[in-house]
Formats: sequence, structure tokens, C-alpha cells
Amino acid sequence: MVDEREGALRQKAEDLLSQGGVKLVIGYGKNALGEVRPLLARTRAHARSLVWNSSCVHNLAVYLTREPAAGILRRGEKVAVVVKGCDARAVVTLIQEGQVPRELVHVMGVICDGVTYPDADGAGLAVKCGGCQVRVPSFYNDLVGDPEGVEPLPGNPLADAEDLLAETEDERWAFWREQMEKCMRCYACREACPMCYCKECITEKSRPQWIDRAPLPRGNLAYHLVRAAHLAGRCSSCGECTRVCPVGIPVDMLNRFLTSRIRTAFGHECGVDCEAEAFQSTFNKAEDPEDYIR
Amino acid sequence: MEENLLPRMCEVVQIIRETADVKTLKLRFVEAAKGGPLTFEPGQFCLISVLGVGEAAFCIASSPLDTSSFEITVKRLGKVTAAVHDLEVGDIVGFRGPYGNSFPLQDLEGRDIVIAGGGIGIAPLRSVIHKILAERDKYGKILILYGARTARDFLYRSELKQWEDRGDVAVVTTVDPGGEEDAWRAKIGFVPTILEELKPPGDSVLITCGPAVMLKVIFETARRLGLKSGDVITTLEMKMSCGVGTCGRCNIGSVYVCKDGPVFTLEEIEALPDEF
Amino acid sequence: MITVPDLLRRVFEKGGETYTIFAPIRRDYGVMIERVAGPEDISLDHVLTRNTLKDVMLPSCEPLARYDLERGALEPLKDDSGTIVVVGTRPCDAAAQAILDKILGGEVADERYMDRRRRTVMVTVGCSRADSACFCTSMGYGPHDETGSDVLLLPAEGGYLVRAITDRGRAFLSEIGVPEDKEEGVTPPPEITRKATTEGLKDWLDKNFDHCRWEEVSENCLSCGICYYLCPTCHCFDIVDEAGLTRGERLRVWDSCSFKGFTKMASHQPRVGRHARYRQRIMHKFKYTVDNVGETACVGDGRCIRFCPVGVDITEILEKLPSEEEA
Repeated sequence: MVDEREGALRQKAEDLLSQGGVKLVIGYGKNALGEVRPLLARTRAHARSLVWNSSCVHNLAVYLTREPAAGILRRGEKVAVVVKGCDARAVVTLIQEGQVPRELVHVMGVICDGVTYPDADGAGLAVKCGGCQVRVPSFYNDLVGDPEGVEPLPGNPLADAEDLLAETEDERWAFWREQMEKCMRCYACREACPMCYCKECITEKSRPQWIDRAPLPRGNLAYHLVRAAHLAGRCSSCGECTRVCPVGIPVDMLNRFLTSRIRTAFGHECGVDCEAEAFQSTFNKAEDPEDYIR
Repeated sequence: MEENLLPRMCEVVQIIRETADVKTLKLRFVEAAKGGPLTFEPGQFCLISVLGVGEAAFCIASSPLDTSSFEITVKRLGKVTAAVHDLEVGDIVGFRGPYGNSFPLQDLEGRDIVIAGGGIGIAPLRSVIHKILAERDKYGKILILYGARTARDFLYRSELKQWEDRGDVAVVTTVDPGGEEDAWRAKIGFVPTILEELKPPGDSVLITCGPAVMLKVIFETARRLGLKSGDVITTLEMKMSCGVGTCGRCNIGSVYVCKDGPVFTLEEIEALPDEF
Repeated sequence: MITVPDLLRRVFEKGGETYTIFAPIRRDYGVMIERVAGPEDISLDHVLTRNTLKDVMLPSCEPLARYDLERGALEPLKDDSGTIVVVGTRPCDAAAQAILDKILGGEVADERYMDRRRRTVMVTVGCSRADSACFCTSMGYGPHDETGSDVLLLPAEGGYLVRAITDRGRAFLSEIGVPEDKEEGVTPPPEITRKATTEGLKDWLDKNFDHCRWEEVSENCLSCGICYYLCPTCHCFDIVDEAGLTRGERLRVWDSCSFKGFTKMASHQPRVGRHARYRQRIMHKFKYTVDNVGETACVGDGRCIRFCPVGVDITEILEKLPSEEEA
């Protein structure tokens, strides 16, 4: 049985492409085997192939800062993007950081029941969906689905981080050491992340060579820690970095941990208000306890 | 087991500051007996490494007749070239090479040859010039056309003077428009423009090297002058790692610049995709 | 007839102290081919290992030399792995080694790789099942193909029939005391449902470097390195120096033409745009390697399809590129 949200999405996308002045709808489509993947829809025929189901895992905001969408936006034309609640946070952060003009992005927010990963063999919803408060996206131009009676998902989004924090420092170091030995620097975690839009990543800089290039634990740890620091306060908790990792590193555990610490320390919630100042580019001199910045 | 990814070590025996951002380094192998002195043909390149920093490809810019040492000419642009510029006499660097093909000088005997270099492009041409001048009577008319951005950017000034003073070689120097200073007496104009003015005969050979943008223009000029594309020869630059055709990095189409080049004729380049 | 664990036990009995032995092990994220210390943990209930034999033959990080910055002295580091025995690779991965042998074993060979290959015994286990990403038959291979194997174990009722494919394989079997099985009775190979067509492809690639289709087929691609690093025939590498204040190492590391830095020089960048980098992938595998060594650098193992995070499907692309249909 096809979800009625799918029909609504298709109709909306067709309307946007034919009358709404939108040049591109970034949504979900299917391949010949029925596997869900991103679909860059430009025509009404494409729009009619959009899908919506529990396999719509990708954070499509990642395409907003890449061609062809980036070129369309640069020309002052509109792009639409289909988002779940987690993805919507990424769109808001991109707007806050000046990467994407608010008036040129048409956000189609879909009410989400949680997603499952294709090879999860009936393991249930993805770990990142545990405790989700944004089944109804908090940011959209169009809302697809009925918000009536939609409850947050059960679960604790920090369960795995809390389990790890209960261990000794040596045990935790051994855990991360094992993860860092697996990393092969494919950079899929970075490329799948909508917030990693830097034209030249710190890993690509050679003067100085901030981060060693070889896939050894020392350089891998530097890469992951620096990336987590660069994402602090900006991460939408979409979990894509962990999903795409070919060697099963729980990359997003670092991010979720930092997100919770930042919530406690700064009262900051990522990706809620387009008008709010970007977290890492805000400095409030009045509240600065140090005196060396004048 | 022959190891083609590891270097022979060399000592820096002399450093010549050519311009504000270009130096020529004279290098000599540390263990002279191992592997013997360097023998190479003009056009070949080497991979020089600064330990702890990395490796980069440089054409061998010295005369092939001098086997006691060899020279590279380096413009300070990136990580490795900056480290090369920080070297002092006595420092040790790694050398791998000589790699690549060379200018087909044996096929050019009896021909009139124009050697046109732009900027740092004069470096690979210097070894060609030395070889040709050492056997001057094998070749027809020789014209050396050398252009730099400004009057201060010329390399190999003392050799340039020697070539000018020889009498059996025409030497024309030029600076880019706006690059002249008060004492500048020679031409003003981009290298391809001056080449067109000089009107070399249509059956000349053109050996040229310079920035990619200059090459694209000089190829057009050569066609207009009626030169055959098989007679226009250049050397291309691509990012390199192994230097021997196994790391997959320096290809232009099916061709690897490190082992099928770096010397190519215009005819060969015309058959390649525009990816360089 | 033998079971794979039994064969592995014989390998350990004979050469547990002297051979360097690789076999598939189940990790929590998938089955990986890794160095094993004993015959116990081998896993065979998988279609393909997540990693490829590159981890054995062309490791992702291989130290070439150590050096002392103060003396400027460089000391080569040798690979002392002795005889390498791989038990449990699949026919597609073994075939991929045969292709890499041609690419890396040419006129100027990669001696480190070729030396390891000369010391390797490849004991391949033919496939009992396939999944929807496999397309080996379209590339000229198959679930029971013998290309690149020294010994091929073919599934049969109750175990595997042992076939010696090369002299090295024959000698190895006699060394470990496992007889060759000459009889028939091989279970029919699993059906490979995914097909790729390469008809007309090479011709199209020869003539269409600048076609607009390159942008279309690569528009989902995020330019990460997964398909390159998990591909058994992708071999591109870089050489890097990593040093402290007084000492350092020169390392050979995997690199991918999907990364901008692959071709970017201080002076200019010859390959601009994601589509240009994806084009390099297809061209290198389906044209340049064909032009240079007469082989297509693809064995149809399907890892690029299985692990692409955004559904880029090479079999779809190979069909779309030379097709007549309008963009």
C-alpha cells in the first residue's frame, strides 16, 4: 500500500515545477529494484517518480550546496528539497550560515515515522531515530502528512554514548582506538554531511598539513575529532555519517555527545530558527569572562 | 628486488637565486658509486623529495653533458617547492629518476629550430639548448625566444648572455606588456605574439614550454605560421606521485604524462582530451 | 572433497608458523578478509567480503621507508610476509588480482606488489549464492570462474571439490596434504540476476569525452572514496611523508580520483567538477585500461553498487552512456 504522503509529495512537486518557479526538486526516488535513493527531479515526469517510505534515509540538504542546485541558487532561481525533521535542521543551519538563501529554497517537510536501513534485517528503526522530537519538521514551506496526534518516538538518542561514558577512560580509549584502526579515510562521512560544505576541507590543506593523510589511527583520530569540533552546534543529528561508513564506525556518536553538551552549556539547539545567529560564529563580548579580547 | 618508489640521496652543492621566487639547485649523489652518475636526455624529469615534507616532479634543467652533478630550477608555489626553497647547501634530498621520454633531437638534425620558453618553462628547454649548442653544426638555424613576465623574472642570465654572444644563435628576449623597466631594450609582448612577428619559416621545428595558457595560444600561432603539428613539441606538467605509470594520477586520456611523456608533439596533444 | 575449515586447518598445520594466512572473519559490520592466527573463526556465510584483496596485496597504508631527519638518511622497509596464503576469496576478487597484475606488472613494475603476488597462493572458494548487486557474468567472469586462482574450491553436496588451477596450486595442495578432486558433482552456480551491457560502450567512450551525459549520470555522486576504496581493481595511490621532529616515514597510501586533491596542483586544476572526476572513473576502467593493457578494470563484484550511499549504479550508467535516448 502506497503511503498517501507519497501522492501528496508527487503532486506538490509537479505543481512547484510547472507553476511554482522551482527549477529542481531534490527528493527521493527508486531504482529498478525498488531501492530508495536521491532523485534530482526537473520535469513533471520525474516528479511523478518521487517516493516516500521508511527507507527515505538520506539527508537531501547535502545537495543544496553542490551542483546543479548550487548553480541554480546562484542564478537567483529556486530549488525545492524534501526533508524529514532531522534534515530540516540542516537546511536551517545552511540558511543561518549564509550558504543558501532562504527565499530561494522551498522546503517540503514530511512527517516521518522513523527510518529503517536497508540491510538492517528487521532490526527496527535506525538508532538515530530513538527519542526523535521532530517527527513533524519544525521548518517547512509545505507540510506533507497529518500532524494530528503525532507523538515523539520512544528511545534515548544518547543511549550508546551513555553506555560508553559509563566505562573507564582506558576502556573508552580502547574503543575509539579500535574504531580509528578501521577508518580508511574514504571521507564518505564528510561528503554525506550537509554541513561539510567547505570548498577546501582542512584535510585538503597542505601548508601546513594540519591532518596527516595516511589512514593510520593517529591521523584518523585527528580527522574525526577535528570534524566533530567543526560540527559542534551545527550537526543536525541526521546520522548519515554513521550510515554511510563502510566499516561501521559510529561516527555520529561523537556528534550527538557534543550536541547534548552544547545544549546543556549554551542552551543552543541546532537548526531551529533561521534568524538565529550561527552557533560557532557568534561571540558575545558582554558575556566574555576573559579580558584578552578587547 | 628493484625498488622504484624509493630515492637515491643527493646533497645540495650549490644554490643560485635566479629571481625573487625561483632558485636553481645543483645536486650531486651522496654515494657516487651506487648507480653511477646521472645520465639523462633533455626533457626527462625527476622526483625530488624533501624528507618529512614530500616529493614533487621537476624537469632536469642542467646540461646532459655534465655528469658530475645535475640541476633543478624550482619556483616557490606549494608545500614541497617551499621546502626546497628553505634548503641550504649540504642538505640531503631524495632523487628518483630520470623518468619519462625526451625531446627527439636525433630526428631534428639539419632542421631549423625555434626554442620558445615562457617564464619557468625555460627550465626544461635549457637542457635542450645545451645539448643542441654542444653539437651546433648538426642543426640548421637556431632561434631562442625567451619571455618573462617582467624584466626581473629572467632565469639563467649569465648563460643567456653567453648564448647571445655566440653569434651562431639568434636570441630574442621579451617581457609581457607592462613588465618592462627603464633599462629594458629588448621586445615587449607575449611570447606567442613575438613569435608571430619573427615569422620563422613554415618548415621550422618549434620546441616550446611555458604556462598552460601560453601553450594554448602558441599552438594557434604555430598553426597560423604553417608549422606542422608533428613539428611542434612541448613538455606537459601534471601532478605526479609514482612517476612510473602505476599510481594512476597523471593521465590525460589513456596517456600517462610520466611514462608516455612529458614530451609530446602538438599532433599527439590534439588527440588527447582537454584535461591538462 | 573437503570443507573450507578443514582445508584451513591443514594450512595451519603445515605453515601456521611460516605462512601469512588470510581468511574471511565476521566483524560486527560485515565479513572482512583479514590475517588470521588460527583456523577457528573463519566465516563463509557471506556473498562477498566487504573489503577486497587489496588489503593484502596493495595495503591502504604501506610503509616504504623510515628516515632520520638529522642525518638525512633513508632506510628502506621491506615486506617480510613470506608465503602469503589467501583462503576464502571469491572468484571475482581473484580475477581482479589478475587484472591488477597486468596494470602493476608492466614494463616498469610495482615491485612491492609483484613481489607479494609471486609469494601468494590464492585458494578461492566458488560462490553458492549471489546477491542483487553481483554482475560478474556481464564482465566475463562468473561464480565458479578460475581466473586468478591457484586452487579453486567448488561447492558440492557436503563440502567443496578441490581443483588445482595452476602449478603453484598443485604444489601447494601436495604440500598441505589435500588431494585434488577430479570428479564432477559441482552444485550449479547461483544465478546472477543483474546484468551490465558493455556493447557499444568502448566506441562511445572513445568519442565522447565532452558529452553532457557525464553530468547527468553523476549528479547523485557525492565524490566520496567508497567505490574506489572498496573496488578490487582500483589501484591509485599516493606517496606521503609523515614525520615528527627528528624521524619520519615514507608511506604509500590509497588515493582516489574522486578527490579534488588528486590532480590539483599549486599552479592549476586540470579536472574541475564532480562529473569530471566520475568520468575519470569510468574512462579509466572501461577505456584507458583497455587501451593500455587490454583489460577492462571491472570484475562485476558489485561493491560500488552495494556501498554507494546515494544509489549510484554503474550498471545503469554503462547502459545509459552510449544509449540513443535523448538527454
